[in-house]
Amino acid sequence: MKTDSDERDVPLPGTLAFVLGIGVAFLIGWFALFALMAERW
Amino acid sequence: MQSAVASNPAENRLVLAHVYTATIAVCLGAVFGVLQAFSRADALQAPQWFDYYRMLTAHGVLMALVFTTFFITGLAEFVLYRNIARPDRKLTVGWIGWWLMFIGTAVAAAMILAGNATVLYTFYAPLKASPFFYLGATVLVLGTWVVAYEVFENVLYFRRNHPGAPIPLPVFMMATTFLMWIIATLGVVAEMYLLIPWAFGWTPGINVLLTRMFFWYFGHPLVYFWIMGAYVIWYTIIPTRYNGTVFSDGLARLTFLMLLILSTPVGIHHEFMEPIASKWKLLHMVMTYGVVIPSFLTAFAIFASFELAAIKNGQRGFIRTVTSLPWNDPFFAAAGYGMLLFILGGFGGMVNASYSMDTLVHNTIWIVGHFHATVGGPVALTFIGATYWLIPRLTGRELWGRSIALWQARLWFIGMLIMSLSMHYAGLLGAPRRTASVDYAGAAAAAPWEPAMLLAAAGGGILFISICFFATVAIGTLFKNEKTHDTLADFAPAEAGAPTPAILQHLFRWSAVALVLAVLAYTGPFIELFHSHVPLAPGLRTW
Amino acid sequence: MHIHRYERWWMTFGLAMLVVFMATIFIAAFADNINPPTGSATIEPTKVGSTPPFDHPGLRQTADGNYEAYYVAQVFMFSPSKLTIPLGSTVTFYVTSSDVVHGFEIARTDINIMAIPGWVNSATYRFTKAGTYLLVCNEYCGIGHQNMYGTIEVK
Repeated sequence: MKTDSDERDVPLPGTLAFVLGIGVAFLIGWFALFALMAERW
Repeated sequence: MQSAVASNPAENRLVLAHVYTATIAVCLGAVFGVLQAFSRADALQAPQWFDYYRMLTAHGVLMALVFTTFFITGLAEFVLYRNIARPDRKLTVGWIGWWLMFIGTAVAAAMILAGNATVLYTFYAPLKASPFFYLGATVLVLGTWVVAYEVFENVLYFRRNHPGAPIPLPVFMMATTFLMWIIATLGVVAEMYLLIPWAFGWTPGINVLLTRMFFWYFGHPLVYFWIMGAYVIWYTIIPTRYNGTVFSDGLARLTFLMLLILSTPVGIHHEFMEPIASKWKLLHMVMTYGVVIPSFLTAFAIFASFELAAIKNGQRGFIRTVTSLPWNDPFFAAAGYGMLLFILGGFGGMVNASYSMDTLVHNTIWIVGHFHATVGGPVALTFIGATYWLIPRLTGRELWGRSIALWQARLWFIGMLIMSLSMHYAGLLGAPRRTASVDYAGAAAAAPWEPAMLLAAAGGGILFISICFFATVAIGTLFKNEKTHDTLADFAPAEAGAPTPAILQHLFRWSAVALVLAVLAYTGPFIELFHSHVPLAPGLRTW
Repeated sequence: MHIHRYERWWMTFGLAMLVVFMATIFIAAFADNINPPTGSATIEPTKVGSTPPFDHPGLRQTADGNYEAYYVAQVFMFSPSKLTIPLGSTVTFYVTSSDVVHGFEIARTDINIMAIPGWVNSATYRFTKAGTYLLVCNEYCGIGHQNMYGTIEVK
């Protein structure tokens, strides 16, 4: 939902890339370890 | 934005007492650490008069309980004194706090060094240490309560003299940190109430699971006490190194309030493998995922601060933002490398908190890798870097050995990365923690553990060089005695934006929420524990 | 309080990620019975040696391919220190301690049980791979902690 003050948001592509990158890395890593646990179970 | 509060010699002396204690603790702890790393890699044998486990107890206590606590209490006072101008400030209470902390630490340390408290920094019952170990630790905690009182009293002074004004952000952060600390330490004090009479021999046995529940009620918010100390620096001091700002004052306050209420009702994620009902473990897992949220907010806020400053300098994009940061400033570099390590630490934390996934890693050396990538990396590096910033402002002396300090930060990062990664790896292969060696009489399953320990020892060796560099800079600065004009402390201004909502200012109301949540999260487990009528265990000295 | 648009996107992503992780864990717990150890009983720690079935620790068959293994952890050994299990069996481990807290970790499996004096703690594992498994104590228990181990032979 776009709000009025969004127009004043300075674009921060570096920040978005940084956090999403961390998020994706966490997703991959977490599921890799989940698979390891399931395989050992 | 008020102008910086003047440097006051009496206030500086008190803060320095904390900072010097913390510095000595981290240096001594690091010496023990490298000896342990070499011992585990079978490159060294600890002597009988100072065996591995005694050394490990000293290392854990010095690093996790002395270095961290003294630094945070000192930083809290510094933040108070340099943000709240108060010409008639009395330091009596503050000094009482330091003395209690110091005496408690000294007594506990004496017991550890004498071999009467080889119980590691978690002092799990029914391992029974000298009662003076527990007493010393309790007095250390009481000393921190005195410092907490000083924090709250200064906040109330500010409120009286600036009615309606928001508390300065660094002070707000420290106040929430210490409110959380009070709630958290109720647990360890409750545990001491059981342990001390038992250690004196006045009670016959101990309910082991109860003491563990009390410990981890405290033990998890303990790590948030550490990370909040680092976050105060990342949010409000580090931006001054690159002419930056606090990205969002309101969100920063919200983050700390979330940490206040969510740090404690999560402790059972340290007890997943214990005989506690699954429903409580699942509840605490969910709550733990909740406390990940303020750290996600922090990741965004910190990098956004970097990027805004870069944009103002005409640098755009991720890469240009990173390269335009002051990586040649020892303080910034240390904190920046700490932030990088926190990516590894945060990931590991999410795995550890994931209930059944913890079976992969519980009590393996992965856990040791994890906390070295959190308190050992991000927190320690940030505190050491901040020491480079604090010393000139507290002593009037120019920092000596800037390039040595810079290399100290780089070597710590490299050493900790190597050591922590090899520990994570060895842990997945099943290598247990807290052992003096990993040989297991040549068992095949243990064969891959030793090479990993050798790699960890290499990391430990690099860390040892790093701590030598730190000690060199500290000693060199004090001996060179070169005057500096840099005695004022700037704190980062906030980006212009909407005013902070009033609901975020009611610190004591949010503390009540925090206490209620902590009680709710533990009521069920405690009631079930009482109903199970567990037999008590007698104390033992197994070392 | 205004929240930057990108930060709203990030928090949505992050929250969704946390929800996915939790859902995965809950499903594994309730649908596949993947859970950490659960306490099954309390026991007097000073009387472990005379409390059945821990007075005779070891393996017991309960049904075809199903076993119970009773272990006592103490400084600095496991009883039994050696166990042989037929390949393909499902074993429920019941572990207690007669002195301090110990860990019961079978390396390279998901068996990771805290042996707490006063409690019997339990977890189940199906041994589908043959070999010699190393059982180690992974909680500090004293000066001999690094020598506290056992073996489980699966064949």
